[in-house]
Amino acid sequence: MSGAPRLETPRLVLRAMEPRDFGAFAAMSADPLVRRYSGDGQPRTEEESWSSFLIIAGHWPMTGYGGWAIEEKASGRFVGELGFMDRKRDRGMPDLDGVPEMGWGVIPSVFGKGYATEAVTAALDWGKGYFGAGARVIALTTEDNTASIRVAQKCGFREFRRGLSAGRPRLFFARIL
Amino acid sequence: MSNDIPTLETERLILRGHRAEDFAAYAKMWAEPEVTRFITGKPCTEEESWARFMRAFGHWALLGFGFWSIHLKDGTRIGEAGFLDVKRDLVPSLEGIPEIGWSLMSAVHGRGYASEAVGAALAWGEARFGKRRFACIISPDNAPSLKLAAKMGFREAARTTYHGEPITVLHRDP
Repeated sequence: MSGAPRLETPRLVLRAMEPRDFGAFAAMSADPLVRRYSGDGQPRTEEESWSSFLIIAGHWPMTGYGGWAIEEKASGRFVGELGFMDRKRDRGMPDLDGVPEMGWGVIPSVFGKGYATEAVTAALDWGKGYFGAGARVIALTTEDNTASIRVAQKCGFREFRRGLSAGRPRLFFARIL
Repeated sequence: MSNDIPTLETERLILRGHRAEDFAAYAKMWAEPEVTRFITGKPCTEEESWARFMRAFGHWALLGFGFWSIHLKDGTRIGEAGFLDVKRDLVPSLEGIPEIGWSLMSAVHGRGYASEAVGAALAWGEARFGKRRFACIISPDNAPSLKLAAKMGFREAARTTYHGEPITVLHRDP
């Protein structure tokens, strides 16, 4: 029973989400530029963001894996989140039951710096140790989310399906660890 | 951050932290129309119950309080009770007032288990938060829960709406 391990990259620290991060997390989740490709595409209310925040915190003790806060080393500020989750999504795709799903997001002021690729690479390294070499993880994007599609491709994900999730068409990517 | 969830014991019940293996019983309870009628309004899907289950873990991990899983002494899971902070979009706000909640499987309703569990949770809460005001929110149509809340010393503080549904806010003052 533990929380997220601390991971470091050249420019970033990936660490457990802490209560003090909630303001920045909620601001990111309320930003239309961040939310347009995620979930139902709508900015989240504070109550909805808090629910997500609690789920991230609960996922680690529940399953042994979960999400991280992304901190920029140079400034110490919260610049995004990422992680592996099992949401038990009801997509009518039993072949994906129990397959960890990666998600990532960064705040608009750091778009284009390559932070997501750097963070996802570090998390995948950790995931290879935790889930084991050869394990499969997936990631979903909308068709128009070119930034995230590029991150997925750079990090070794390959598209294997198109389908609906949370009521919207998505590209399904998979990566073997 | 602590996941050391205290275990509480009453005459007939054990209240302990949720474990991953409790999820099947947890999802079964949250799929019961009798349980969800006055809370979510409709039975929860497995996906919705899973999110709820993880939030229960997240409370303890982030805040040091949360819900307990309620079990009979033979180990059968019958429900849950505890403290929560879900930053409800509610007027009047519950901010700063510890909120308590409870839910039991319909098969064990009417046996006094909820009183026993909520009593133990409140005693723990008074030690954790101090003797102060506590709150709960209950649908005005949920007569059994309103009766239990009254028995535990809660009094109606406001009638309002939450997510578009009528709700009664109750306070319990020391």
